[in-house]
Amino acid sequence: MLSKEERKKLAEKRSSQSLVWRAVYAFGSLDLAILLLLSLAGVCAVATFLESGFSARVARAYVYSAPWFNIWLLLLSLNLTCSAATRWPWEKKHAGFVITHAGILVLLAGALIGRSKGFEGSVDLLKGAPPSAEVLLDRPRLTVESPATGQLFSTPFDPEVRPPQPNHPRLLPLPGSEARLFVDGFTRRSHEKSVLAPDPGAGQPGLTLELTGPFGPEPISTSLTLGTFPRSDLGNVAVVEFRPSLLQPQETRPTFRETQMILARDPGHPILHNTAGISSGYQFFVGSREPGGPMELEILRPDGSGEVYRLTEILERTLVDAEGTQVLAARYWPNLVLREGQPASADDRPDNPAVLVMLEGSLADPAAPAKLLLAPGPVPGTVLFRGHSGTDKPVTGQAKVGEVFSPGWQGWSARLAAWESSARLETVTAPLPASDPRPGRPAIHARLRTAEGQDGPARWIASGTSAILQAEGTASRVGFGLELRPLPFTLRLDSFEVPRDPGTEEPANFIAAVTFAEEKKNLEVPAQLQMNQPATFPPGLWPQITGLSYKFSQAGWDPQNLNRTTLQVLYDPGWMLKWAGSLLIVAGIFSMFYLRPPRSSAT
Amino acid sequence: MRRLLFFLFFLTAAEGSRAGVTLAAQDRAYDTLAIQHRGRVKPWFGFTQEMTASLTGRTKVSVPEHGRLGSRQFILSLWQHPEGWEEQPVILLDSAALRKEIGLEGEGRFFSFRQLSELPRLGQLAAEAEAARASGTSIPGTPLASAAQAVRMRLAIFSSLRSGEAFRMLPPPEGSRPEAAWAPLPFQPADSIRELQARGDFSRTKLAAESFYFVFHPFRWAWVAWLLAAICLLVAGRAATGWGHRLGWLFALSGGVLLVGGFALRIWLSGRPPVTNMYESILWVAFAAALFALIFSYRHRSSTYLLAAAPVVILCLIASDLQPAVLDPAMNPLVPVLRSNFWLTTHVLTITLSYGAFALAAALGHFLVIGAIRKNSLLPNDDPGVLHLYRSLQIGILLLAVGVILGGVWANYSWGRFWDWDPKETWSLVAFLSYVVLLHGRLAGWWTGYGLAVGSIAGFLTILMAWYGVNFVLGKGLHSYGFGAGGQSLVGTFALIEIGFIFFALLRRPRPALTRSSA
Repeated sequence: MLSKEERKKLAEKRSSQSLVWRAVYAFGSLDLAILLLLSLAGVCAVATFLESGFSARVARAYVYSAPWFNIWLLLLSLNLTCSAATRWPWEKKHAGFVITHAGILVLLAGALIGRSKGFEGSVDLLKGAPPSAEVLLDRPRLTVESPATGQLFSTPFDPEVRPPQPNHPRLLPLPGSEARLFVDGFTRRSHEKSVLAPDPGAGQPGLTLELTGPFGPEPISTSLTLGTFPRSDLGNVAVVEFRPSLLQPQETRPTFRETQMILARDPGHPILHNTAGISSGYQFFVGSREPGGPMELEILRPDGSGEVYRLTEILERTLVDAEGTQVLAARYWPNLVLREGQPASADDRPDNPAVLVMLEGSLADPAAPAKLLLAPGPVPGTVLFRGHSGTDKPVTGQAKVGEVFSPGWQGWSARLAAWESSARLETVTAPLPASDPRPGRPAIHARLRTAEGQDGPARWIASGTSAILQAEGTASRVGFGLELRPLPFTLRLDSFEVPRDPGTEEPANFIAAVTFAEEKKNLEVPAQLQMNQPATFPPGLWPQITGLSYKFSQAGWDPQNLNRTTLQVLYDPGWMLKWAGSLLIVAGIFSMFYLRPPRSSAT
Repeated sequence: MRRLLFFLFFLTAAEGSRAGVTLAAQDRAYDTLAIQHRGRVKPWFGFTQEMTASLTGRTKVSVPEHGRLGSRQFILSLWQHPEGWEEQPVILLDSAALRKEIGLEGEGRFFSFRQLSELPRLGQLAAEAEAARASGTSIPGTPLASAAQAVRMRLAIFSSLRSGEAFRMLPPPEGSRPEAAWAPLPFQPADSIRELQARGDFSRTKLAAESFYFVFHPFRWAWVAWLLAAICLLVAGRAATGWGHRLGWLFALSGGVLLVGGFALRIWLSGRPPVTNMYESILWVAFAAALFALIFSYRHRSSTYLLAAAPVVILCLIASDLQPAVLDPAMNPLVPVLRSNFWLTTHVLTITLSYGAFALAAALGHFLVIGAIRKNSLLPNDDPGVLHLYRSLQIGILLLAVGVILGGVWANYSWGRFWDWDPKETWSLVAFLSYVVLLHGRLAGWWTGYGLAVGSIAGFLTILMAWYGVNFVLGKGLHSYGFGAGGQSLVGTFALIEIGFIFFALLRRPRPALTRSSA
């Protein structure tokens, strides 16, 4: 047991004799500890506001994974170690203090291991799809192809943290070339859209039409080419077509042949066969309106109108109905029985009347109620149009590029935005306008810049895709997307269930049955995971303890597709140390507060 | 939607009837009748409180020509004489920004059903919020859209009351599934409803108990008891004995019993552990402060703890009743993620226990500061008041450490992740670090007992941020289940007052003669 004075003397002796001890006393000072803790607290507090304003990833990049934060933690660890060292030789009263500090160090060590060796990602599984062996990490990367060797080079690239902008571009070297990659734009939401691209070799004119409807100021833009993409269906509401001329060709509408066996005893349930697979909509009823009266056949058309004929008058006579449908009452059996599989009549008494009716007609065009037909005008850059909505009188006219005209649809206006004599349609990535509520994929805006400063054409590259960028004399394929980390095993989704809360559509739980497989070891392990109960692979105690296991937990689902689920994957080799450290901290605090020999004042 | 049909019905049918409404008679006979609502069977009185609070933000409503109505009379009137209620301004629209957006600013905060349902902009905004929620994106709708959605929900509640559909008081026939829906009943005398409900399969004792819970409101009497305790102890002064002192103890104890009883009742009635929403967490903090105060007072023979706990209990319990629309006292079923989760329960209970201990410490800090200024002493470490404070801080720090770690345990158990720098986690770490700094600073001689007192008040501000601020001010992250416009002005004012007190304490720091050592 050393008294206070003895300890002070020891400290002085050590400091004067050894440089190392002097450093230890300096780094282990209480003042430094307080400063570090206070600043750490302040930084974390600020970071939460940063996260609230931006996103968790940005906060992580700027603060929690930043180098200076790590140096902070390193200093803290040094301080903890040294402060424990300065109390050497340790006595019983130091137990709590040493345990707590050791606990913090162990926790930090676990966190370091987890951060450097571990990862967190997601995997999308589809039932019935081949097993997955890759995890998608939330770490965006840029992949470029060397123009010289064709080799792929990949580098972490997070445009969300420091978004490249036209006035703050990022210039990255291109391996194997003097040219550089110039990234000057980033959008969180992008989508694919078709644009008109002039192409002398296409040989067909193309146009871009902008339609503004009553729902909002943002127009719908659609591009059409005469030969390859002449038709645009605007969500089953309207159709826009681009044709060589406005003359409506006699559209050959599909024909059908239908036979109906109508039974008087079972009205409304004929035995029906239609070559087109659907019902013509014609209904027939056979019977006599008065008992003992003549047999009659009633024809009911799809639109509800109908006539009644005497069966004797129309039997074996083809009727041509409206719209060109031909109706033929072919056979009549007063008393239908089946003889050797064939219909026949037992006798002449009308005990079970049946009539066979054959129909031949053309199917109505499931036309959209609104239609706009466009044809090239007399002069390049003009169009002739005819548009109508429903049964309204069609509107015809001529328009040139830039002109606004009415397509004949109530509340809509159209504008010929572009015209090319020879064009094709191209799909390009473009940022979504802010007013568009759809989610989109992140994308970067990039181009190649040669050593001489010449820029090639710029493109938007969406996450998960790649594009070929060119500049004078060089070309490279550039890809942008999240990192894919391979797993040493495969994962297959066997089933996915979402039981609901009684009486509602609210999910009560998410239960997924998966199978892990390791081909090399010929191992197949089925597992089940649900909300709050993840599945771990490899199973067993040792992988769990060391943390060298992968934990799969339910992360996301698609309410429209119950064959699909998204799982979160976590690999954290440091977790045991984190746990052990935490327990030590709690034990240490408890013993410091409540297990110390009682003293009159807490110094 | 059925709601739309009813609304259209009202518009056409109620034209020209700008006359007022007829009120039903005040009648307590309905209180213990059963009604099925939001997935459980509850007593009528609880239902009326809940519905009134949802619509108007309070448990009383002001109706022109009739003055203030209690929840019983309001709901009974809606049920018995529904005509004309759609013209009464009873629906709360508390977001000033939303009122401005839809052109209703300057007309107060209450509007009629007809007024609000005729505004297409409201529907648009609510649809926006619904789309954002349904698409599952983590980008929340704008505050305007969320406010609009809240108003839309109130309109739906109103029309379910107006149409009578909400009054599901006819139990399903015998042999039906337990989750079968009850049928709505038209207004009729309480006795006839009681007869109709005879066949229902529900616990009448529980219903009576729940009705008693809402009528008696034990948490209100608890703060009354603690107020009386505080008054008695103040009057008794320094005397450790005497009737003032004993009476104070008695009141404090009864207040404690009321708190425990209130919680026991709540747990029994709702069938789950008590801290599941903001309202319950405030009650629990009051309970924790009272519990620690009683224990410490008994162990260390000092009524100082009781005196310090009293303002905490009183403020918390009064605050819990101020905004029933935001702090919902009803006991409704939980979202499945929060149900039956051992780790989650222990984590939340431990952390909120620590909040209570720190609240007690902050209250003690106030007393110490004032006492120190009076005595012109910087409070040495063996000052009894400082010892009281230190004990509260100790239990708070231990519980906070355990609670934060249990949070990591739960996260690790459920998803594999131990710590994810979620704002709530981070702020609880900030709070923890602040208190650790407080103790280390005293150890290092940076400050004395006086510094400890001031620091415990400052530390509680970080606790407030972790407890309330993360949910209602930051509004992002895993824990922001309660992003709402609730009570920010109240909490903000409290925080400002505390900051003001801290500045006062620093400026008026005692400056004793230099001959005495300040450590």
